[in-house]
Amino acid sequence: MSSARPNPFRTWGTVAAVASVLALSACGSDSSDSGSDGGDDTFTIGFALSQSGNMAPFDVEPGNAAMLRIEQINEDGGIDGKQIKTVSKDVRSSPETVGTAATELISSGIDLLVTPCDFDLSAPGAAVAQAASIPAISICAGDPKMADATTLGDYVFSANAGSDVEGATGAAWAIDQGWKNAYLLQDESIEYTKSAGKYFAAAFEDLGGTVVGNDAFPGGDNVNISSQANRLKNLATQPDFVYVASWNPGGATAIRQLREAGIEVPVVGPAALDGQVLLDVVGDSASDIFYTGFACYAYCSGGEGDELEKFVTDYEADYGSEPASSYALLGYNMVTAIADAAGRADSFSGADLKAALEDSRPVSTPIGDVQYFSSTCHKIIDMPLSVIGVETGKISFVGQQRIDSIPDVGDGNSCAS
Amino acid sequence: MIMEFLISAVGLGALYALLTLGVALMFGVLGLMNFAYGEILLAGAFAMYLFRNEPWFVGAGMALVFAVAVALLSERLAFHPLRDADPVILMIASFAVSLALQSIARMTVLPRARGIAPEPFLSRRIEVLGADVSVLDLVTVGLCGVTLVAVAWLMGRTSLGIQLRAAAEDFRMAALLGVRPNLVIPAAFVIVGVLAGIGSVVLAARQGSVSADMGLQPMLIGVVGAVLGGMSSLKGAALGGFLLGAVTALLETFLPTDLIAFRDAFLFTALIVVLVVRPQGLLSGAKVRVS
Repeated sequence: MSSARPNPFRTWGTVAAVASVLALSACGSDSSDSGSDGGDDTFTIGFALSQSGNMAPFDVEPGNAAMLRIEQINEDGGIDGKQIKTVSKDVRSSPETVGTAATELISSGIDLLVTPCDFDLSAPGAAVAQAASIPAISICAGDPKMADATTLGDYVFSANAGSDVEGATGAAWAIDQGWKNAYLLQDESIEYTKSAGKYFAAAFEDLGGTVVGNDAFPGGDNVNISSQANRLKNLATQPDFVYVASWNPGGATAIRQLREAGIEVPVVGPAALDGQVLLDVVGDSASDIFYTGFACYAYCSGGEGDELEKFVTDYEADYGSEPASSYALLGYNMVTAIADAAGRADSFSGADLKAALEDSRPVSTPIGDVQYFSSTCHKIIDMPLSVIGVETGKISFVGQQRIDSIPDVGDGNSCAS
Repeated sequence: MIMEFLISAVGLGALYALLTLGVALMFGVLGLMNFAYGEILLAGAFAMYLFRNEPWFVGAGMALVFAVAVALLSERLAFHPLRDADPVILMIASFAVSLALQSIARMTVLPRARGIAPEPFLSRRIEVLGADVSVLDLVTVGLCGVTLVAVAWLMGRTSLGIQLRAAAEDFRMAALLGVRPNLVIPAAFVIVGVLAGIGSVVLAARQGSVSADMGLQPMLIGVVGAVLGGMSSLKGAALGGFLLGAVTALLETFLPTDLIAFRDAFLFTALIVVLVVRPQGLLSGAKVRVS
């Protein structure tokens, strides 16, 4: 393979290969620009979300739903007559890209930055916004470190209830089912899953339950929990249920492997298990799988209200398919909250917007009134979660669950009681 | 408990050995470190998704067809024109092929992960020697074991195998003695396609999901396994892959819960120790050979 015979195809092959890669990477980093003058007659939101990569399932639909809401607000006359404009950059699920995208968006003169649906991915972008004193709102990151105003800074918010609330809500619901013994299967891949598991265990024990055992797996794309399943099967006391603190698609794979290992006790999990992909991965024969989601629509039956149905119809009209997870609704609701705050702000300067966001009042959303931020808690303060169940190939609404307080686990969570 | 552990460790080991063999074969015969191997796996897994409503064996057959097709296409379009290039250029080209295929998948059919429902007969559990094991584990061991034996037979006993090994020893000399490069190189890609296809069938059944970047980790496992066993010996590579899988299962079983997140750190520390003692890999002699 190392003879030095000249080959006319060699150069062309290399050129073609390089050209194709360049062309593809150029396609990957498209940016749509619909005006970014940042003047006082418009309100400009910069979107640094993933259109591709492993976070895309959590970013694309909430981003689409946010655009839908912006369109609606603009049609209704905008914010006090001022139109909302958007600038978008694809961050491709890569933390390195997020910081660059945020810098470019902020230098183009945006008034507010929207970062991806994950703490680990949002952090580099939020840090740039913090330095520029521009509010950064993660479209749906769950980890409470997003919201404590100290880890990343006081200009950083998240438009989600948080994995602390998700874990605690799962615990409260399980207690209501009369389940006393829990087993925690912890996905160690991202901050979101770690805090969901930690708050689940704390809340479950606060409420009188016992965590009879816990185990962990590295998570990610390549999930194999056969050793963990074997250990669980050989426990002296079998738990009443397993809490799988994980996210899709790895979490769905873990649940599938639990069932294949012959573990038939109910499974409870956080919202990142939500969506059509869970159903596709666990298959038609899987049952007794529950998670705390944000809404029940489209692929989920039994939870629709008129407003939710309208949201799904509008979304489908714009994007050609129904939303595949309830995260989409979070993006839609976030814009409502931003527009409400911007309408009350003295000006669109970073400091004024931040003050208005911290002084949030309940806004009306398709799942009822939702109370967003306060000066100490930079995530959704009050939103009911929907418990959603998987039963023989169908996803359906089980009930609504609220919690009164978030347990204090000593991690500096300023939203905890 | 011990039996169950053994079957899952042997299953993972056999799967990893299969992944490793594809990487080592390409390197041994062509001097090509093929980073596009993961995307050949992806093509197979995507076929499993595409034919998920057909009987399982149809999807599995199509996975082989898709994987072989992508392997041959990448040879024809990217590696054939570079046949006389330096190994480093080939390696960079394989990165380009990998990125291109991944991006195409992402832009067209796999913008997000897709699920493949479990196959009822694979998720059944049966009793083997007093242990309760799933059919999927047995199928993994069986399928990977049979494939490994078939590759050993092919390389050792057939004319094609002898030509492949001759080409690996000295490509120019083999060509002068009548080994046709236009036969052995595509043949090597077909074998790698079949190996990746079988690997993808097993991976899709275990994971239940297909995503554009799913090939990355299996490809890395293949490369690491091959380095551990010895890049230039197929037996060594298979052994390296097997050990990697078995030790992963062992660590998952015996590491305390708090440390499981750092499983790969332990795994790769062990790898570094092995490579310090035997930099050429476990089974590699001084001379480059394939079997």
